[in-house]
Amino acid sequence: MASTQELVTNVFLVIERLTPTSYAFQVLNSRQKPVWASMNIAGSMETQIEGVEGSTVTVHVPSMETHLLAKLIVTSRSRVQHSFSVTEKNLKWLELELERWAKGCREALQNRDVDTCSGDLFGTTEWGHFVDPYFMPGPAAVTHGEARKGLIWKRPSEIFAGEFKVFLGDIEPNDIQQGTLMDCWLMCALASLAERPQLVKRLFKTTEVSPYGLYRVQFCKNGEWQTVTIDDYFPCDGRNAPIFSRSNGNELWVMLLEKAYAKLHGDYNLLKLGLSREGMIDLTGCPTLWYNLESEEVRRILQADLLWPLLMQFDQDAALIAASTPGEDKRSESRPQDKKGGLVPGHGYSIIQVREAYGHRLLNIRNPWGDFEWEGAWSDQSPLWTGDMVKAINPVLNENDGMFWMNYEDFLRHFNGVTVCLVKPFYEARYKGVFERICEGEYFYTYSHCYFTLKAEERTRVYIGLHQEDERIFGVSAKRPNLDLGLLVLEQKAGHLRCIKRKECTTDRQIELEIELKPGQTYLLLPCSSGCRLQAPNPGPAEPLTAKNPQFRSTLLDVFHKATQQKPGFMSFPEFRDLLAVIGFEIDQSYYESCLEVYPSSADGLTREGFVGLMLFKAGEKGEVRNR
Amino acid sequence: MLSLHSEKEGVRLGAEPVATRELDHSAAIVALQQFGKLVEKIRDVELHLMGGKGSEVYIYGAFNAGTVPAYVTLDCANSEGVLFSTGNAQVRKTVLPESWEVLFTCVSDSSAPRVTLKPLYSVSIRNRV
Repeated sequence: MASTQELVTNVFLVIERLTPTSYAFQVLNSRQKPVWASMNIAGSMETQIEGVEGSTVTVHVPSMETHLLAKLIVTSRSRVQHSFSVTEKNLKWLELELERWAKGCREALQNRDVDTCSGDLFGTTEWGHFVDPYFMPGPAAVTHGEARKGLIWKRPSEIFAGEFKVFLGDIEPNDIQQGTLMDCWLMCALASLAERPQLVKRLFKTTEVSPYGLYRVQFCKNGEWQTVTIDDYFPCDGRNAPIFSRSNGNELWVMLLEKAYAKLHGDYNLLKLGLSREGMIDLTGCPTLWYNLESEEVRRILQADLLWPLLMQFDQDAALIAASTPGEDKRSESRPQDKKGGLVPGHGYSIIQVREAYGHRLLNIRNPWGDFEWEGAWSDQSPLWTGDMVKAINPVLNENDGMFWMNYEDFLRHFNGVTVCLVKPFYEARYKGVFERICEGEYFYTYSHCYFTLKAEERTRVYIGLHQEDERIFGVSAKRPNLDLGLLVLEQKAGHLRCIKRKECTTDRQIELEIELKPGQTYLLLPCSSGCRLQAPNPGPAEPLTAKNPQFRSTLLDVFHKATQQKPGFMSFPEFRDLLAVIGFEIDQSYYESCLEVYPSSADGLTREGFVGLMLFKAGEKGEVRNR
Repeated sequence: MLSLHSEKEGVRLGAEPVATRELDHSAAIVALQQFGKLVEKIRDVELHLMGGKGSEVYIYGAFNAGTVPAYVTLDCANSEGVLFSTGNAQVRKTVLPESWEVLFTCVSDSSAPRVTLKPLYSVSIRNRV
């Protein structure tokens, strides 16, 4: 038995009782245009829209068609409150509206720094919240490539039913639910961090729900801590469910962190495929070791059976440990429905515990998917778990939570890399350096613009890292792929240099070296690179680089990064003046101050966005900008 | 960006600007002396290579153990999938007596379908004027 009511002219709602506890709500569209129909059950008790976690659902109903809007599940104690809305406004309309709001937010920001401004700046706008003009909710934030269809950007109030928080209760690895982005390497690193909640919390500068939808997260990217400000729009499917990673409960931290990390790189899609090691470095800023189980060096360690005691020691030192399987991850985007478990190829896993009992070497491992576990020896259902072993290890078994146990031999057979992030209360220093490529006679040479001295008062172990701009960031690899980096540690005795430790040049995002310093001894650190990849590309017709080209913005960011030495993230007057002098412009302090009044800036100078905005404006004034 | 993590306090990190490539050159020679291996010797001039199996970066250097300047040529033009620090696959340098000279650094290009390094080493001795 069905009942029908007209929601708006020529759009009808058909309600049908399917069972005593379920009702189907269908929308019949008799108009000549498609419509979007929404149902909201906020305020209802013991009522649920099937397959939807939140209280609202929206469907697209083409012209002259009937579509299921929702299946409502009720009980005898339910109290149902529902409202409906119909609009011809389509996704394009929503995109345009967000674009208008983002433009308004850019105007509201004026000469302010988006990374330090107060959220209430946006409370007085017509729409009342922050829409990030520098990472606008829209197709380009998901991918610079082909747009993914059917995405709707939703705020947390539309995603969650009831109250939500940034952190709800304790932070746990099982809070994390990986989405369809193939960023298991990041989620795996995050799950390892979640073992030490304080490490996660220190990334969040905003720890409470922002009424203006403005959140700040920090990362140690390219070797330096950077703040990223985002709005709270998340890409969702038609049922208001986030398509990318999220928490299992009504909390925001996983979605916020993934979105901020996506903004830092340029879009969500750029987070696909990676190494947990890189995730851990970016999330902690701490030294990170990598054991390639297929390398000759690690095979020698394995032959001497030295890896297991190392892993035990790292676990005791509360280091973050992750491991990866060989192959290519083809499953994150569409989880296999036909299988319940097994190891996923090309996937990152967190190692939660390293234990030994009764001669058994066991590792407790977690799949960031939160399910899909190993089903071999020592898995949840394994008969190897004797009473004595259960008593000794105290494992959590029989829960499909993505956590499982595996013995060391199987681990070595099925995994090909181990990452160890040393998280300790370190004393930390960072210094920005530059490689210069010069031509002397007929040859080119590359050298570091500075060398470093290191001296300790007492015997101390130190970790030295050399980091470069990550080629994962949008536009970087097109400009310049990763350079090879090396590091020499030298000491000077009787006027002669002696190399006491070196890191051979390697083409990687960063290199790291560990050394024990003797008290009173002065060490010289010399970064080196062959500079081969600093060479200009092969001569040929120059591609036009217009101000609208995303590559142009990426190049400006690179220029900004290299020109700002005094305070990261801000360009002072001397830096701005010297930079413009290089391209033949002379400016004075008053010109600089006039720029600060118009473009995003703070007391420390012109911000990254301010500099890019100014340069884009100048490029527009000059007309098309061409690559030379 | 250089990062330093120390387990104890009292570690001082200083940065000194470098105006020329002199230190880089000296350090490369020190590394060649300590970690390089002799790969060829023509007359009194030794060709040394740093970077073994599994390395992606190779540094070639020459040491003139003789008493007269030597004119060294290293030609890698027949190599494939290799980038050269000098911008050229062929380098010619004068190596003074009892002196070292870095010839060039080459890097295997991971995007190349095949990587082969084929160095051709030759030495001529300059007569004293």
